[in-house]
Amino acid sequence: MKKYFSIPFVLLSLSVSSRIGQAQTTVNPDLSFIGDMRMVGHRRAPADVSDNKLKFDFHELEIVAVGYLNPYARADVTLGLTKGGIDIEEAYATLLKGLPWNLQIKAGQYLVDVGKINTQHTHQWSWIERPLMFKRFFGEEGLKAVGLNVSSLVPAGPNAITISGNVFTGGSYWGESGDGADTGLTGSARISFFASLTDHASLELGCSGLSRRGDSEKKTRMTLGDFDFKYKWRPDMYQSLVIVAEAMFGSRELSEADPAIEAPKKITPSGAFAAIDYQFKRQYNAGGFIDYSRDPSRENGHQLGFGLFGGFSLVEETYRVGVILRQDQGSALGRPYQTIMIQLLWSLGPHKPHQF
Amino acid sequence: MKNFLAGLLTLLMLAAVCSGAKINVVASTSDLKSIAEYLGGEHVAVKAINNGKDNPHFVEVLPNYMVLVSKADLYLKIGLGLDFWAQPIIDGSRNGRLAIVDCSEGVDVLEKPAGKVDASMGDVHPQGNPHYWLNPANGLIMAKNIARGLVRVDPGNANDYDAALKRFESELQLRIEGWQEKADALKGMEIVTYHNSWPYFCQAFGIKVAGFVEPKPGIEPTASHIAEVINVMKTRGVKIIGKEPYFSDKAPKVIAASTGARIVNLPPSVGEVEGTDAYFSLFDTLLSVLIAAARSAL
Repeated sequence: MKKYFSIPFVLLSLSVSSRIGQAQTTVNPDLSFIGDMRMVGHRRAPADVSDNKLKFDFHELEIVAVGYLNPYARADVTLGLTKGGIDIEEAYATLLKGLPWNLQIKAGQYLVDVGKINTQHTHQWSWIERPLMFKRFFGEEGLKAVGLNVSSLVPAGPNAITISGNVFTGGSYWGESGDGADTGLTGSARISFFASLTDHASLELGCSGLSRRGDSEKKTRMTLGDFDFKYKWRPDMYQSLVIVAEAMFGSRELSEADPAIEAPKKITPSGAFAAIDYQFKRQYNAGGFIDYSRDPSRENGHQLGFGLFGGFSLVEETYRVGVILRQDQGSALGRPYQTIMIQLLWSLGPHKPHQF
Repeated sequence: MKNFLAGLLTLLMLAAVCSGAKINVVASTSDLKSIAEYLGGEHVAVKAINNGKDNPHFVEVLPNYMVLVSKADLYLKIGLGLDFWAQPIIDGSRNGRLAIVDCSEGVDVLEKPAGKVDASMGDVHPQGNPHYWLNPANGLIMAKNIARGLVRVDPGNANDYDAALKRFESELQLRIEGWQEKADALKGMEIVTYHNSWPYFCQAFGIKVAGFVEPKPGIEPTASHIAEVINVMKTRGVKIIGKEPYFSDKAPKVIAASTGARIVNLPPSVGEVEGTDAYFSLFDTLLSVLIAAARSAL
């Protein structure tokens, strides 16, 4: 019963936190800066991909601020600074505790948990670039939207089940804006199961779904399903093995007005990504990936990418050099083309714990 | 209906109390777990996030740790920035009734940086060296902090916790006297350690640290630094390299080959190696290992 009484209190605490903050000017959030510089070169790339010249690119500077609003709530803000300007990657407040049924509520702009990879920032990946299916389904920045997330942690013996639901506005779907003016709210949910297999090996399996109206006349609907898998073995600080795999299946009902297809029709885009990443010394890792996307509504309907990557971390995540060699081929690409990318990542700020 | 539900709830609560439901305690490390088990006895069920076999600086935030903490009444932190990973685990647990005790409260912290701290100094802890549990005198401060936490979450058994704390204090005092006697053979001896984990231990037993295998805390050994360490060891006649079992023995072996020193695995936590199943036996083992190494180095 006490828990239920605490709900209005913790909700109120969010609303008054700004006033409390005025009296706590010395309590600053943790600030981090993450720089991402790249050198990119292509070989035989089509004109719409690249001019095949080797280029330096200051890809992004990410500014991360994290701090507690009060004993019950925390705020996370991630800004991305690029040549195009400043972008709010994420900005949300989370009610951490005091809610019944092990609930947490997150509100703001955030990366939606449709799958596991979508919730991660690009600097977390050894394969450097966002997998094709996310780019094609949701755009270059993945699915980020403004909304509300409610999640619960359910014990399953010593293991954990996390159930999460979202209602949100925004995002981008196959190049169309999902700002809500025409198509209303989008709903999604994810359930994941985490198990520690041994002291040093863990496994997570997840299943997500998303549904939204496809047009303003409520005639069509688009739905997505996603399955994700992650295995990690880390016997000590000198070696680890991570295997990730994720597959996404969509269903888009197309209205008559859709320029791509004359008659109303349902199409079923899909995609899959898998990577294996082996840390063989404290500072070195290497691995490979396969990246596939299929979208029948596009001219270049399917695309397959695969490649190898390697990395050197001078001291953990503070200074990291990554290299990726990739080949892409597909129905509209003509002949296959190759990409080489060298990334320099640096991180300035407080130590961050390693999340599974 | 309301009355029925209220009655049922009361009965369930009474049943829980009468069944002697244990206080669930989660500790960041096995050292805290050991002391909490001593003090809590039959009233507590204690689990540790770091089981003593892995480097406590690098614990991954796993959902099953959050599940563990979601059921806990009390969380015991090492503090001083060592278990910085504990906070996201606690946040992820969503546990609103959790009491948190920072066991470093009251410890005379060594190596508090005087000026500005930044990453050029390596993985240095801005609040001072966090390996304080390795001075057994600090064991009493930790025990007092833990007992305070237990009384807070379980005031009904406060007398038992107070009595256990007194027992712990007496036993620790006796053991410290014994350890000091045993450590006479080590007083003034110089050693090189891999990481800067041992200032409290060395202070307690009169051992001197001549240098570290790591050039700076958390930084991998470099060739030039290894050469420097070899030079220092040769000049000062240092014959022991102490290493936590979870660190690589590659650089220590290079140093040992040049200096003729002996590499000794020093378990910094309970449960790391055989014979370190409790806080007191950790010191028995550490001193035995070092004394044996010192004798063989003569």
